[in-house]
Amino acid sequence: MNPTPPPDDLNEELMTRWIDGHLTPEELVAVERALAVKPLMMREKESAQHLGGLLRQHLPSVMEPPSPEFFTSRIMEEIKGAPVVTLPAAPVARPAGFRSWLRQPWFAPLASAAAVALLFLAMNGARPGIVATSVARAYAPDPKVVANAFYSEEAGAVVIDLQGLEAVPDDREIRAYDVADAAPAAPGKPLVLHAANDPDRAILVLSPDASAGPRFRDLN
Amino acid sequence: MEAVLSGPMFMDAVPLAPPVATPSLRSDGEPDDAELVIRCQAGRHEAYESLVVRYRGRIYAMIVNMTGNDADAWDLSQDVFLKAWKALPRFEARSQFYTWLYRIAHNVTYDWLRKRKIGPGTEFDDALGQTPAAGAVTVPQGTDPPDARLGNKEVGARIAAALEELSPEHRAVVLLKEVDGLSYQEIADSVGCTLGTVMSRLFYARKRLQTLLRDVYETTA
Repeated sequence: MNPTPPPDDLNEELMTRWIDGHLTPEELVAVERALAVKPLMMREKESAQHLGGLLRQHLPSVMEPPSPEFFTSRIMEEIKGAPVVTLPAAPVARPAGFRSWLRQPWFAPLASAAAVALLFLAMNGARPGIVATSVARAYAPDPKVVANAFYSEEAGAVVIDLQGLEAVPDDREIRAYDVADAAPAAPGKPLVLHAANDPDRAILVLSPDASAGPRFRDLN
Repeated sequence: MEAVLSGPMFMDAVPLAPPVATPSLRSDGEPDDAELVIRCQAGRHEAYESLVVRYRGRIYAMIVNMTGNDADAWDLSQDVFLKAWKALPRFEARSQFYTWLYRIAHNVTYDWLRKRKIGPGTEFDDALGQTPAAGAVTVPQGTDPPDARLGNKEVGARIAAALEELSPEHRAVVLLKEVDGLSYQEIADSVGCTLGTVMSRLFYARKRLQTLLRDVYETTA
Protein backbone atom coordinates (compact mmCIF):
# COMPACT_ATOMS: atom_id res chain seq x y z
CA MET A 1 0.00 0.00 0.00
CA ASN A 2 1.29 3.40 -0.90
CA PRO A 3 0.27 6.23 1.49
CA THR A 4 1.28 8.97 -0.95
CA PRO A 5 -0.21 8.38 -4.37
CA PRO A 6 1.39 10.33 -7.18
CA PRO A 7 -0.52 13.48 -8.06
CA ASP A 8 -2.42 13.56 -11.32
CA ASP A 9 -0.89 16.90 -12.02
CA LEU A 10 1.66 18.70 -9.94
CA ASN A 11 0.30 21.98 -8.72
CA GLU A 12 2.12 25.29 -8.81
CA GLU A 13 3.21 25.22 -5.20
CA LEU A 14 4.59 21.71 -5.41
CA MET A 15 6.44 22.48 -8.63
CA THR A 16 7.92 25.62 -7.13
CA ARG A 17 9.14 23.88 -4.01
CA TRP A 18 10.51 21.02 -6.12
CA ILE A 19 12.50 23.46 -8.27
CA ASP A 20 13.84 25.14 -5.13
CA GLY A 21 14.59 21.87 -3.37
CA HIS A 22 12.08 22.31 -0.55
CA LEU A 23 10.01 19.13 -0.82
CA THR A 24 9.43 16.76 2.05
CA PRO A 25 10.71 13.22 1.48
CA GLU A 26 7.16 12.02 0.90
CA GLU A 27 6.49 14.71 -1.66
CA LEU A 28 9.76 13.96 -3.35
CA VAL A 29 8.77 10.34 -3.77
CA ALA A 30 5.51 11.46 -5.36
CA VAL A 31 7.28 13.81 -7.72
CA GLU A 32 9.81 11.19 -8.72
CA ARG A 33 6.94 8.89 -9.55
CA ALA A 34 5.41 11.61 -11.68
CA LEU A 35 8.72 12.07 -13.43
CA ALA A 36 8.45 8.56 -14.76
CA VAL A 37 5.44 9.58 -16.82
CA LYS A 38 6.44 13.22 -17.37
CA PRO A 39 10.16 13.16 -18.05
CA LEU A 40 10.07 16.69 -19.46
CA MET A 41 9.51 17.95 -15.94
CA MET A 42 13.19 17.52 -15.23
CA ARG A 43 14.05 19.74 -18.17
CA GLU A 44 11.62 22.29 -16.83
CA LYS A 45 13.34 22.27 -13.46
CA GLU A 46 16.78 22.69 -15.03
CA SER A 47 15.47 25.54 -17.15
CA ALA A 48 14.12 27.34 -14.08
CA GLN A 49 17.44 26.90 -12.34
CA HIS A 50 19.31 28.29 -15.33
CA LEU A 51 16.96 31.25 -15.29
CA GLY A 52 17.73 31.88 -11.63
CA GLY A 53 21.44 31.76 -12.37
CA LEU A 54 21.03 34.23 -15.22
CA LEU A 55 19.15 36.70 -13.00
CA ARG A 56 21.69 36.42 -10.19
CA GLN A 57 24.54 36.92 -12.63
CA HIS A 58 23.14 40.07 -14.20
CA LEU A 59 21.10 41.79 -11.50
CA PRO A 60 22.77 43.22 -8.40
CA SER A 61 21.48 42.36 -4.95
CA VAL A 62 23.51 45.22 -3.49
CA MET A 63 24.25 48.50 -5.27
CA GLU A 64 25.27 51.65 -3.46
CA PRO A 65 23.23 54.69 -4.53
CA PRO A 66 25.13 57.52 -6.21
CA SER A 67 26.72 59.83 -3.62
CA PRO A 68 26.05 57.37 -0.78
CA GLU A 69 27.26 59.71 1.96
CA PHE A 70 24.93 62.41 0.74
CA PHE A 71 22.17 59.82 0.51
CA THR A 72 22.59 59.03 4.19
CA SER A 73 23.24 62.57 5.36
CA ARG A 74 20.09 63.81 3.68
CA ILE A 75 18.00 61.22 5.46
CA MET A 76 19.62 62.00 8.78
CA GLU A 77 19.10 65.73 8.31
CA GLU A 78 15.49 65.08 7.50
CA ILE A 79 14.80 62.98 10.56
CA LYS A 80 16.75 65.24 12.87
CA GLY A 81 14.74 68.21 11.71
CA ALA A 82 17.37 69.96 9.67
CA PRO A 83 17.68 73.73 10.11
CA VAL A 84 14.97 75.40 8.13
CA VAL A 85 15.87 78.62 6.37
CA THR A 86 12.93 80.97 6.06
CA LEU A 87 13.07 83.12 3.01
CA PRO A 88 10.86 85.96 1.87
CA ALA A 89 10.48 84.13 -1.35
CA ALA A 90 7.94 82.59 -3.62
CA PRO A 91 7.41 78.90 -3.27
CA VAL A 92 8.95 77.09 -6.15
CA ALA A 93 8.32 73.41 -6.49
CA ARG A 94 11.54 71.49 -6.70
CA PRO A 95 11.70 70.34 -10.28
CA ALA A 96 12.50 66.67 -10.32
CA GLY A 97 14.89 67.06 -13.24
CA PHE A 98 16.84 69.74 -11.45
CA ARG A 99 17.23 67.63 -8.36
CA SER A 100 18.14 64.54 -10.24
CA TRP A 101 21.06 65.95 -12.17
CA LEU A 102 22.66 66.97 -8.90
CA ARG A 103 23.00 63.41 -7.84
CA GLN A 104 23.81 61.76 -11.10
CA PRO A 105 26.96 59.63 -10.99
CA TRP A 106 28.85 62.19 -13.05
CA PHE A 107 28.20 64.85 -10.48
CA ALA A 108 30.47 63.35 -7.83
CA PRO A 109 33.68 63.57 -9.87
CA LEU A 110 32.63 66.99 -11.05
CA ALA A 111 32.24 68.07 -7.47
CA SER A 112 35.54 66.53 -6.47
CA ALA A 113 37.29 68.44 -9.19
CA ALA A 114 35.89 71.64 -7.82
CA ALA A 115 36.82 70.56 -4.29
CA VAL A 116 33.37 71.11 -3.01
CA ALA A 117 29.85 70.70 -4.18
CA LEU A 118 26.91 72.52 -2.86
CA LEU A 119 23.68 70.75 -3.23
CA PHE A 120 20.70 72.97 -2.95
CA LEU A 121 17.53 71.08 -2.52
CA ALA A 122 15.55 74.16 -3.19
CA MET A 123 16.56 77.38 -4.86
CA ASN A 124 14.40 80.42 -4.55
CA GLY A 125 14.64 83.99 -5.51
CA ALA A 126 12.72 86.85 -4.02
CA ARG A 127 9.42 87.85 -5.45
CA PRO A 128 7.83 90.97 -4.12
CA GLY A 129 4.66 90.50 -2.22
CA ILE A 130 4.89 86.80 -1.74
CA VAL A 131 6.15 85.26 1.45
CA ALA A 132 6.92 81.63 1.73
CA THR A 133 9.35 79.27 3.33
CA SER A 134 12.04 77.30 1.70
CA VAL A 135 14.71 74.90 2.79
CA ALA A 136 18.30 74.99 1.64
CA ARG A 137 21.00 72.57 2.61
CA ALA A 138 24.64 72.47 1.83
CA TYR A 139 26.64 69.33 1.53
CA ALA A 140 30.34 68.90 0.87
CA PRO A 141 31.45 65.49 -0.39
CA ASP A 142 35.00 66.29 0.71
CA PRO A 143 35.08 65.46 4.45
CA LYS A 144 37.70 68.17 4.97
CA VAL A 145 35.21 70.81 3.93
CA VAL A 146 32.40 71.83 6.25
CA ALA A 147 29.48 73.52 4.53
CA ASN A 148 26.77 75.46 6.30
CA ALA A 149 23.91 77.42 4.81
CA PHE A 150 21.96 80.19 6.48
CA TYR A 151 19.75 83.04 5.47
CA SER A 152 21.26 86.49 5.82
CA GLU A 153 18.79 89.30 6.42
CA GLU A 154 21.49 91.79 5.54
CA ALA A 155 22.27 90.22 2.21
CA GLY A 156 18.72 89.12 1.54
CA ALA A 157 20.08 85.81 0.37
CA VAL A 158 21.17 82.40 1.46
CA VAL A 159 24.83 82.41 2.45
CA ILE A 160 26.90 79.29 2.10
CA ASP A 161 29.83 79.17 4.46
CA LEU A 162 32.63 76.81 3.45
CA GLN A 163 35.31 75.96 5.96
CA GLY A 164 38.42 74.10 4.85
CA LEU A 165 38.07 74.87 1.17
CA GLU A 166 41.27 75.07 -0.83
CA ALA A 167 42.20 78.43 -2.26
CA VAL A 168 40.47 79.22 -5.53
CA PRO A 169 42.93 80.19 -8.30
CA ASP A 170 42.86 83.88 -9.15
CA ASP A 171 42.25 83.18 -12.79
CA ARG A 172 39.09 81.20 -12.19
CA GLU A 173 36.07 83.05 -13.38
CA ILE A 174 33.14 82.82 -11.05
CA ARG A 175 29.80 84.08 -12.15
CA ALA A 176 26.77 84.36 -9.92
CA TYR A 177 23.22 83.92 -11.04
CA ASP A 178 20.21 85.18 -9.22
CA VAL A 179 17.68 82.59 -10.17
CA ALA A 180 13.99 83.10 -9.65
CA ASP A 181 12.58 79.99 -11.12
CA ALA A 182 13.44 76.81 -12.87
CA ALA A 183 11.06 75.43 -15.41
CA PRO A 184 10.58 71.72 -14.74
CA ALA A 185 12.50 69.78 -17.30
CA ALA A 186 10.81 66.91 -19.04
CA PRO A 187 12.94 63.80 -19.39
CA GLY A 188 15.61 64.43 -21.98
CA LYS A 189 14.76 68.14 -22.20
CA PRO A 190 17.02 70.97 -21.06
CA LEU A 191 16.35 72.77 -17.79
CA VAL A 192 15.86 76.52 -18.21
CA LEU A 193 16.69 78.87 -15.33
CA HIS A 194 15.10 82.32 -15.24
CA ALA A 195 16.40 85.57 -13.82
CA ALA A 196 15.21 86.74 -10.43
CA ASN A 197 14.65 90.31 -11.53
CA ASP A 198 12.96 89.29 -14.75
CA PRO A 199 11.22 85.92 -14.44
CA ASP A 200 10.43 85.90 -18.14
CA ARG A 201 14.10 86.10 -19.08
CA ALA A 202 15.96 82.82 -19.38
CA ILE A 203 19.58 83.19 -18.27
CA LEU A 204 20.96 79.70 -18.17
CA VAL A 205 20.17 76.41 -19.87
CA LEU A 206 21.32 73.14 -18.41
CA SER A 207 21.27 70.08 -20.60
CA PRO A 208 23.14 66.78 -20.73
CA ASP A 209 26.08 66.47 -23.09
CA ALA A 210 26.92 63.40 -25.14
CA SER A 211 28.31 61.61 -22.10
CA ALA A 212 25.34 62.58 -19.90
CA GLY A 213 27.43 65.20 -18.15
CA PRO A 214 26.12 68.71 -17.51
CA ARG A 215 26.41 71.33 -20.24
CA PHE A 216 25.66 74.89 -19.27
CA ARG A 217 24.68 77.43 -21.87
CA ASP A 218 24.96 80.98 -20.64
CA LEU A 219 22.35 83.20 -22.28
CA ASN A 220 23.74 86.44 -20.84
CA MET B 1 9.56 25.40 25.34
CA GLU B 2 10.02 26.25 21.74
CA ALA B 3 8.11 27.65 18.86
CA VAL B 4 7.76 25.21 16.02
CA LEU B 5 6.77 25.96 12.49
CA SER B 6 5.80 22.68 10.97
CA GLY B 7 4.75 21.46 7.60
CA PRO B 8 6.33 21.75 4.20
CA MET B 9 5.17 25.31 3.76
CA PHE B 10 7.57 26.44 6.42
CA MET B 11 10.61 24.51 5.38
CA ASP B 12 12.61 27.57 4.52
CA ALA B 13 11.09 29.84 7.10
CA VAL B 14 13.29 32.30 8.92
CA PRO B 15 15.08 30.59 11.79
CA LEU B 16 13.82 31.88 15.09
CA ALA B 17 16.43 33.89 16.89
CA PRO B 18 17.03 33.01 20.52
CA PRO B 19 15.78 35.56 23.05
CA VAL B 20 18.41 38.14 23.72
CA ALA B 21 18.59 40.16 26.91
CA THR B 22 21.83 42.03 26.36
CA PRO B 23 23.03 44.07 23.42
CA SER B 24 23.74 41.57 20.69
CA LEU B 25 26.54 41.94 18.25
CA ARG B 26 27.19 40.57 14.81
CA SER B 27 30.30 38.64 13.95
CA ASP B 28 31.95 41.89 12.85
CA GLY B 29 31.39 43.39 16.29
CA GLU B 30 28.68 45.78 15.13
CA PRO B 31 25.30 45.78 16.88
CA ASP B 32 22.79 43.55 15.16
CA ASP B 33 19.60 44.88 13.60
CA ALA B 34 17.44 44.15 16.63
CA GLU B 35 19.77 46.07 18.91
CA LEU B 36 19.91 49.02 16.52
CA VAL B 37 16.12 49.04 16.26
CA ILE B 38 15.84 49.21 20.04
CA ARG B 39 18.24 52.15 20.08
CA CYS B 40 16.29 53.85 17.29
CA GLN B 41 13.08 53.42 19.23
CA ALA B 42 14.83 55.16 22.10
CA GLY B 43 15.38 58.09 19.75
CA ARG B 44 19.06 57.53 19.00
CA HIS B 45 19.63 58.86 15.52
CA GLU B 46 23.11 57.40 15.13
CA ALA B 47 21.61 53.91 15.38
CA TYR B 48 19.34 54.66 12.47
CA GLU B 49 22.26 56.00 10.48
CA SER B 50 23.93 52.62 10.96
CA LEU B 51 20.82 50.88 9.62
CA VAL B 52 20.66 53.22 6.63
CA VAL B 53 24.31 52.56 5.81
CA ARG B 54 23.76 48.83 6.29
CA TYR B 55 20.73 48.57 4.01
CA ARG B 56 20.87 51.45 1.55
CA GLY B 57 22.72 49.29 -1.03
CA ARG B 58 20.19 46.48 -0.84
CA ILE B 59 17.16 48.74 -0.94
CA TYR B 60 18.54 50.83 -3.78
CA ALA B 61 19.42 47.71 -5.80
CA MET B 62 16.01 46.20 -5.18
CA ILE B 63 14.27 49.35 -6.38
CA VAL B 64 16.52 49.70 -9.41
CA ASN B 65 15.76 46.10 -10.34
CA MET B 66 12.05 46.69 -9.85
CA THR B 67 11.79 49.99 -11.70
CA GLY B 68 14.68 49.79 -14.15
CA ASN B 69 15.21 53.46 -13.36
CA ASP B 70 18.20 54.37 -11.22
CA ALA B 71 17.46 58.11 -11.07
CA ASP B 72 14.00 57.64 -9.55
CA ALA B 73 15.32 54.78 -7.43
CA TRP B 74 17.42 57.30 -5.49
CA ASP B 75 14.34 59.30 -4.49
CA LEU B 76 12.29 56.20 -3.81
CA SER B 77 15.02 54.77 -1.59
CA GLN B 78 15.05 58.02 0.35
CA ASP B 79 11.31 57.74 0.84
CA VAL B 80 11.69 54.17 2.07
CA PHE B 81 14.11 55.13 4.82
CA LEU B 82 12.12 58.19 5.84
CA LYS B 83 8.91 56.18 6.03
CA ALA B 84 10.71 53.44 7.96
CA TRP B 85 11.97 55.95 10.51
CA LYS B 86 8.46 57.30 11.03
CA ALA B 87 7.08 53.77 11.37
CA LEU B 88 9.83 52.43 13.61
CA PRO B 89 8.01 53.20 16.87
CA ARG B 90 5.33 50.74 15.73
CA PHE B 91 7.79 48.04 14.66
CA GLU B 92 7.27 45.10 16.99
CA ALA B 93 10.03 42.83 15.74
CA ARG B 94 7.61 40.12 14.68
CA SER B 95 9.65 39.87 11.54
CA GLN B 96 13.25 40.62 10.73
CA PHE B 97 14.02 44.31 10.35
CA TYR B 98 15.16 43.88 6.76
CA THR B 99 11.99 42.05 5.67
CA TRP B 100 9.99 44.83 7.31
CA LEU B 101 12.14 47.36 5.43
CA TYR B 102 11.68 45.39 2.20
CA ARG B 103 7.95 45.58 2.73
CA ILE B 104 8.10 49.34 2.97
CA ALA B 105 10.30 49.40 -0.13
CA HIS B 106 7.86 47.14 -1.93
CA ASN B 107 4.92 49.38 -1.07
CA VAL B 108 6.74 52.55 -2.07
CA THR B 109 7.88 51.01 -5.34
CA TYR B 110 4.52 49.44 -6.09
CA ASP B 111 2.74 52.76 -5.55
CA TRP B 112 5.22 54.49 -7.82
CA LEU B 113 4.88 51.87 -10.54
CA ARG B 114 1.12 52.05 -10.33
CA LYS B 115 1.18 55.82 -10.69
CA ARG B 116 3.65 55.72 -13.52
CA LYS B 117 1.90 52.75 -15.10
CA ILE B 118 5.20 51.27 -16.09
CA GLY B 119 4.85 47.94 -17.78
CA PRO B 120 1.56 46.15 -18.29
CA GLY B 121 0.44 47.39 -14.88
CA THR B 122 -2.64 45.27 -14.77
CA GLU B 123 -3.88 43.68 -11.64
CA PHE B 124 -2.41 40.31 -12.23
CA ASP B 125 -4.36 37.15 -12.39
CA ASP B 126 -1.75 34.53 -11.64
CA ALA B 127 -2.69 32.52 -14.65
CA LEU B 128 -3.44 35.47 -16.90
CA GLY B 129 -2.97 34.45 -20.48
CA GLN B 130 -0.78 31.54 -19.59
CA THR B 131 -1.95 28.24 -18.33
CA PRO B 132 0.93 25.93 -18.88
CA ALA B 133 0.50 22.47 -17.53
CA ALA B 134 2.95 21.73 -14.79
CA GLY B 135 5.88 20.02 -16.35
CA ALA B 136 5.22 21.41 -19.77
CA VAL B 137 8.27 22.72 -21.54
CA THR B 138 8.20 26.34 -22.55
CA VAL B 139 9.37 27.26 -25.98
CA PRO B 140 11.16 30.49 -26.87
CA GLN B 141 8.91 32.80 -28.83
CA GLY B 142 11.72 34.64 -30.50
CA THR B 143 11.81 34.08 -34.21
CA ASP B 144 15.45 34.94 -34.56
CA PRO B 145 17.52 32.73 -32.31
CA PRO B 146 20.81 34.42 -31.53
CA ASP B 147 23.64 33.15 -33.63
CA ALA B 148 26.38 34.41 -31.37
CA ARG B 149 27.00 34.71 -27.66
CA LEU B 150 25.25 37.76 -26.32
CA GLY B 151 27.21 40.49 -24.62
CA ASN B 152 26.54 41.40 -21.00
CA LYS B 153 24.94 44.68 -21.97
CA GLU B 154 22.59 43.01 -24.38
CA VAL B 155 21.73 40.30 -21.87
CA GLY B 156 21.04 42.97 -19.25
CA ALA B 157 18.72 44.75 -21.65
CA ARG B 158 16.90 41.52 -22.46
CA ILE B 159 16.45 40.78 -18.77
CA ALA B 160 15.18 44.29 -18.07
CA ALA B 161 12.72 44.06 -20.94
CA ALA B 162 11.52 40.64 -19.78
CA LEU B 163 11.01 41.86 -16.21
CA GLU B 164 8.91 44.72 -17.51
CA GLU B 165 6.60 42.16 -19.03
CA LEU B 166 5.75 40.91 -15.54
CA SER B 167 3.28 42.56 -13.25
CA PRO B 168 4.91 44.38 -10.30
CA GLU B 169 3.68 41.63 -7.98
CA HIS B 170 5.28 38.85 -9.99
CA ARG B 171 8.43 40.87 -10.62
CA ALA B 172 8.88 41.50 -6.92
CA VAL B 173 8.50 37.86 -5.96
CA VAL B 174 10.91 36.50 -8.54
CA LEU B 175 13.51 39.18 -7.78
CA LEU B 176 13.27 38.69 -4.02
CA LYS B 177 13.71 34.95 -4.49
CA GLU B 178 16.31 34.75 -7.21
CA VAL B 179 18.34 37.91 -6.67
CA ASP B 180 17.93 38.73 -2.98
CA GLY B 181 17.77 35.11 -1.93
CA LEU B 182 14.85 35.52 0.45
CA SER B 183 12.92 32.51 1.68
CA TYR B 184 9.25 32.04 0.84
CA GLN B 185 8.30 33.25 4.31
CA GLU B 186 10.51 36.33 4.04
CA ILE B 187 9.00 37.12 0.65
CA ALA B 188 5.50 36.71 2.06
CA ASP B 189 6.40 39.09 4.88
CA SER B 190 7.95 41.55 2.45
CA VAL B 191 5.12 41.74 -0.06
CA GLY B 192 2.27 41.04 2.34
CA CYS B 193 0.74 37.90 0.94
CA THR B 194 0.41 34.24 1.84
CA LEU B 195 3.03 31.58 1.28
CA GLY B 196 0.77 29.94 -1.28
CA THR B 197 0.52 33.17 -3.22
CA VAL B 198 4.29 33.56 -3.14
CA MET B 199 4.81 30.12 -4.64
CA SER B 200 2.08 30.60 -7.20
CA ARG B 201 3.48 33.96 -8.31
CA LEU B 202 6.95 32.51 -8.43
CA PHE B 203 5.74 29.66 -10.61
CA TYR B 204 4.09 31.94 -13.17
CA ALA B 205 6.83 34.55 -13.07
CA ARG B 206 9.42 31.89 -13.82
CA LYS B 207 7.28 30.45 -16.59
CA ARG B 208 6.96 33.83 -18.23
CA LEU B 209 10.65 34.63 -17.89
CA GLN B 210 11.62 31.22 -19.20
CA THR B 211 9.51 31.89 -22.26
CA LEU B 212 11.09 35.29 -22.77
CA LEU B 213 14.68 34.47 -21.85
CA ARG B 214 15.27 30.83 -22.59
CA ASP B 215 17.24 31.63 -25.72
CA VAL B 216 19.44 33.97 -23.64
CA TYR B 217 20.49 31.52 -20.98
CA GLU B 218 20.80 28.70 -23.46
CA THR B 219 23.08 30.91 -25.55
CA THR B 220 25.14 32.25 -22.68
CA ALA B 221 25.34 28.99 -20.71
